[in-house]
Amino acid sequence: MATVSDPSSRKVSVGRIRPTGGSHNLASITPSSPHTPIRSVGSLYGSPSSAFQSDQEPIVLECGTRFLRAGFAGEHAPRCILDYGPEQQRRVGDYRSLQPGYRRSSRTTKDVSSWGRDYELWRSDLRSVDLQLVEDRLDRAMREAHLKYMLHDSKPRRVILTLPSLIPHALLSSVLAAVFNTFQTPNITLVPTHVSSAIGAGVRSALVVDIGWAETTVTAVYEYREIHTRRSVRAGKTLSFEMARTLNETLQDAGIKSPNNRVGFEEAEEVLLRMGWCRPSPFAAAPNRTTDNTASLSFPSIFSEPVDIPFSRLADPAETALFASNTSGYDLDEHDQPLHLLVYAALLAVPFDVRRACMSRILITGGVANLPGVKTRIFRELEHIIESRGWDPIRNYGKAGPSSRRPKVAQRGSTRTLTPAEDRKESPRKVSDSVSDPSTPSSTTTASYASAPSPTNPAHQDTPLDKILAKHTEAATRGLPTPPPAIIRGIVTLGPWAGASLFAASRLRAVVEIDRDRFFSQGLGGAKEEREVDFKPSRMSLGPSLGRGLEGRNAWTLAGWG
Amino acid sequence: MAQPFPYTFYQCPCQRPAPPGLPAPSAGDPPDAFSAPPLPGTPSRTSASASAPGPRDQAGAADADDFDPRGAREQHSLFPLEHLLYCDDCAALRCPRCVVDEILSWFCPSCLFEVPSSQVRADGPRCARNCYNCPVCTAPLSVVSLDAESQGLAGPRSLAPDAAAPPPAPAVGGMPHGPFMMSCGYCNWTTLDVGVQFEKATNITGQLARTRNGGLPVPTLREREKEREKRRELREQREQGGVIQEQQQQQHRQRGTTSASSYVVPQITTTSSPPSTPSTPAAGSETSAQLPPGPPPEHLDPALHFSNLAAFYKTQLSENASGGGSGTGIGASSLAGFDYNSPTSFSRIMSLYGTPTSRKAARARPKPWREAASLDEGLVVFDDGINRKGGEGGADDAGPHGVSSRPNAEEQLISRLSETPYSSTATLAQRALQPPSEHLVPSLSPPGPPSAATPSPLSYHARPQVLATDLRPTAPLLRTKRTKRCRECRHILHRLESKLTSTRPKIRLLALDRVPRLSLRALAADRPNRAVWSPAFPVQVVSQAAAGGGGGGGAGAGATPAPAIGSINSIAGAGPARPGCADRARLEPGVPLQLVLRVANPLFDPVRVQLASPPVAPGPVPARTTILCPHFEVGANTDVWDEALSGGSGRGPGEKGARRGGEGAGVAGGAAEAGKVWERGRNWTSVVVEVVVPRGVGGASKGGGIGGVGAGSAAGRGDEGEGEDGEGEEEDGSGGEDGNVLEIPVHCRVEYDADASTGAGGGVVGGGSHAERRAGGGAATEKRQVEFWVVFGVGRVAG
Repeated sequence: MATVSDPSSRKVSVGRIRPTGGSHNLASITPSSPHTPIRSVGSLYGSPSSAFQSDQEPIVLECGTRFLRAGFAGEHAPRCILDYGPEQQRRVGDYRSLQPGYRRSSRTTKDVSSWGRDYELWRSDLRSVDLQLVEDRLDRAMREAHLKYMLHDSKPRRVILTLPSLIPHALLSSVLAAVFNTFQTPNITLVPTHVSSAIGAGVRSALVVDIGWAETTVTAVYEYREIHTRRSVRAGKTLSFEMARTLNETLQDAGIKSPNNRVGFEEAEEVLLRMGWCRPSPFAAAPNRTTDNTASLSFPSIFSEPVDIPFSRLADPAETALFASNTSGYDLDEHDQPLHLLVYAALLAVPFDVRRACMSRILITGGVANLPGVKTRIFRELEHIIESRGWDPIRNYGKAGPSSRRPKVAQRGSTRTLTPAEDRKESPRKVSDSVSDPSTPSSTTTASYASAPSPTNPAHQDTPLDKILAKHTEAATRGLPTPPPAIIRGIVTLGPWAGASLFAASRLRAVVEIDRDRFFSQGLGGAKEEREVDFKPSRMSLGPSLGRGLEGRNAWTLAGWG
Repeated sequence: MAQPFPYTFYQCPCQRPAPPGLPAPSAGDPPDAFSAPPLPGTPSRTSASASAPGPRDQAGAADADDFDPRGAREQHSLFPLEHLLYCDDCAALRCPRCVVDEILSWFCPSCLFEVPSSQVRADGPRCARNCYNCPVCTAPLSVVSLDAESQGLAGPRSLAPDAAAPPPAPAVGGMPHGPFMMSCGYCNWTTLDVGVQFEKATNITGQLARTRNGGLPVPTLREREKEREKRRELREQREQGGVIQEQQQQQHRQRGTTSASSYVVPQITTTSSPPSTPSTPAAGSETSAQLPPGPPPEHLDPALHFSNLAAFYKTQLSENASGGGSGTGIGASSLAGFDYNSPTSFSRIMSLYGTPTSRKAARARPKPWREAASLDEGLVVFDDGINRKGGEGGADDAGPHGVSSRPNAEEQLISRLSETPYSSTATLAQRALQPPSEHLVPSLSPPGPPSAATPSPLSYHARPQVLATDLRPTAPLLRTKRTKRCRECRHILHRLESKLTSTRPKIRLLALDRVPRLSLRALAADRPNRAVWSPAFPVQVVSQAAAGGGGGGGAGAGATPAPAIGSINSIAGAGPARPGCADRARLEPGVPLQLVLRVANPLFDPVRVQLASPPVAPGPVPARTTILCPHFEVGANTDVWDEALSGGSGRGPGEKGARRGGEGAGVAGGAAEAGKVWERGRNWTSVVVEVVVPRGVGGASKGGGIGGVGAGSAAGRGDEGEGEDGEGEEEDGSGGEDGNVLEIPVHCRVEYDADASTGAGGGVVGGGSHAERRAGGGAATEKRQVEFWVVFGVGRVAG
């Protein structure tokens, strides 16, 4: 969407990023002819030295709900990860948190929606968000990042900002204003979070499972474009809330209970990050550990003596909050689907080409992804669902459906046992077999059953294998590594920040670049539709930096954020 | 609050979207609001609608009312006066937010060595010398030598390649020998706790970078990158050998496995040189040819992962640029310079002036780069335990074992966690101290001899340091010397001498020197030992000595900033200054309380001060506030030397008392009168403020401050019982810990006639809009004004 696979740092053609079908294996296969390595030059008439001077490392920011990551492009980790907690909201000169024995009691609420409200920068419900305050808090965090951790000089640098593409406009405007004001940057490049997660994993298409703070988003990224998103509120906030509830119940059972000394946000988060874990899937073949040690937690701020809690109990919050294993499926609304079902639903909803590309490239990122066991659990659950259900959007046929399909579907789910060479030819057809259009559930009959008397959508009919196409595909993929078979496979991603850092280090131009002057004069309303922006160079003869037409210079777009 | 009651915060008027820009002063007579009797209700509203719009109102006149010092936004705009600068050209306060920082030099706070900027850019913002802090308690670590016997216990690891051979010689002479460790003098943490020791006492950073927790040596990133390049060259050579396609595919599949197997952790007995054997890729090719890329080897960490990806993208870009034939394919690489031999550059030059004959070629769409396909290209497959079945994925060296043979990294971590006591995990505070780039592979093996550690392939993405044994010593963050510039006019506001050891400022425009200091204290403290506000204090009875002593403490506030900070305490104490006692200042509801608001003038010109406050203080404690004399003058700060020479210390209470009596007109005698100044000194004037906390605030919860007020009452009860129970009230206060604190916002406007030529700095230069020449003044004087909001913290409402 915003990333362009174009080597030119000056000119970009939108057409170049148009996805070509399955081009992850149709990519450039020309063996590298002998050539001199390319060099960059700053401007047309600039000398190399001047190009070197303008070669400032851009700043890469990832702005999330709870943490700000800031660093320089080309580095593998951010320089700092800062939170927006209540300690950051004190007045300057208020040093009482440094006093010995000081403890700020965290507010305990009995409501998930207001859980940890002091710790998050924004909420999706902007009615209760003071946007100016968001700006203030961001500004303070970014100034701390600059003056304490990054320590860069004050030359203007580009800023690469990674933001979720579904951020509200008002919030986006605030964030941009804060970044423009704090870092005196000439322009800001926006990169969608999920796309930069894919960049950080080295893939072009992926299913990005981002288990964040307020919500979990499952985004299908195909050829660097976000094409489908599902979200669920089962994420870090619910997890932390459940942990607090579990701990409070444990304390109550142990008889240590006082109304004032409830486990609050900070204690719950501490326990969650230190001892929280996630049970393996009940379908896993892994041996169950029978030893259940007792962890004795200590909350020096609340209780003097340690509190004993079984280690297995510390996996309950994840069980309840993320996987809803004790809730029946009928009680789950669309917005609080458990994670494995969410991933499955997202895979089911995308076209099968995309599904094939995505199911073998599942990236799990976000803060909760660091909880031990979560990733394995998701993959195993997903594997189990596919084995049992296949890619059938109908969960229950009732009397109408032929129950004889089920074993066949289950058989198809095990295509991963094919050898890769076999699978390369066969799996597209296999996947296409199992697809049926979710929007028209009446024509659930898939192409395999085209002989059935029910009306069949011609689009779903099994096309005969195109020999010519196969030949071309074969030619195109020659010399390339074999595309992975259509299996459930996880890819380790470096995360959105590192992806944005990779992107920035490659000096590509993004679609969304926001100029400082234009932003302050026009605001976000000045952004044009993506197709109105002329990314093509108008006159080649004037060289890269001069030939841009007037219209192309003044138009800018928000692309996916628009 | 952190500052003892009563405290003063200044609001920097920079938070407005429009630059605040002081308005041109009005004709000279004060606006009506300030000369009006201080009836509640009038001052603030009219002060905004009059000639001078308050600093907060960009929208309208009524805006001044909604200045709530307890608001969330105001926490970001209120500062102690000591933190503020003052821009003479803009004639405005400058807070850290409206100042641009330029870094002059970097230095380590621990060893005080200056770090050049290139090194900061390359190595990050941490000291690269031998300074390290304890990851547990942040105390500095010291390098100490290990004894021979303790070395035997700790295991024979060493980092340098030649370290294994010589047994540690006893320390002869002054120079300690043998392996070293870093130990914390405060909490007794040593690097042996995480299984790290050093061969030399110098170059700790380099040694630390080459070892993992647990003592396993790890090749540096550069070595691993070099090895990757070797493998790549080898592969390319083989591909150019004209092998047919099938073999190519096979080789592609080999990439991951060979690279994985080449990363076998070197045994301890071997040298710790990196496993850079170029023959390794060819070695394992026959056996594991069928395997797709396996799980990441143990040495794969985010740094190498990132480096693999970056190298892969770079090759893709360069292939694209040269092979795609686009005439504009420059600028892709980060290398600077211009190469005329490059085909792309050549075609671009050729098409520069000619007709665009190569238009078509230039328009040729570059092919999208492909995906990373192997480990060396940055593709790391998550080892989820599923792919291990059927020999299809996963195990590189374990082979097609059963499913349960080896749990993956997450399961290993869980089983490790279940055996770890809670106290052996790293706390969040400790994790926050670790630099984010330090997220290494968690050592699942207990620290100790690494022979006990079974090298298990891990994916590093169990990223944060969960266990205390994952913690690493942290180098201290560098500090900087900075120049501060005004964000509006870019004038330098503060600049130190460039010499590193010097702390002398070359330019220093502090707000302390430019803006009157306002402070608050009790009118009189009849019970100085309790140091509470005296609610039942009759106005007529004035304890002269106490009042004078309090005033004298801050007499030099304008002239000397440094003692002025200390003077807050003495004012607050108003008597025998006990450090923390003023913090316990309690306000009893329903009783009028008289406070003395003191304005000290640091300027060399007399100033006219106009004060205004909202009639009812906003926030959780709606106290009625009345400034008895809102409009007065403060004398110039000129004769400080006279006073110092004549009066000796200048702090004598008798002198103050005389001064107060002798000022004559306008000074109220024994009682606080409306419209009269309470006390007046050389460069300071004090007026009386009357505050009434309504009943029902302290006990009954009310309005916004429900939790805070309730907790405050609980704290108050505890405080009555025992005088020393000061911290109890700090800890309660759930919701808002300051929910029962009375804060009074006061709008302060200062006008003065400054000499245009000798005014403070560049008043002539930038004074166009906000300073006007006084007509008919004869001498070149100009009128200036500064206005701002001030917030006084008065005290906590007693329950």
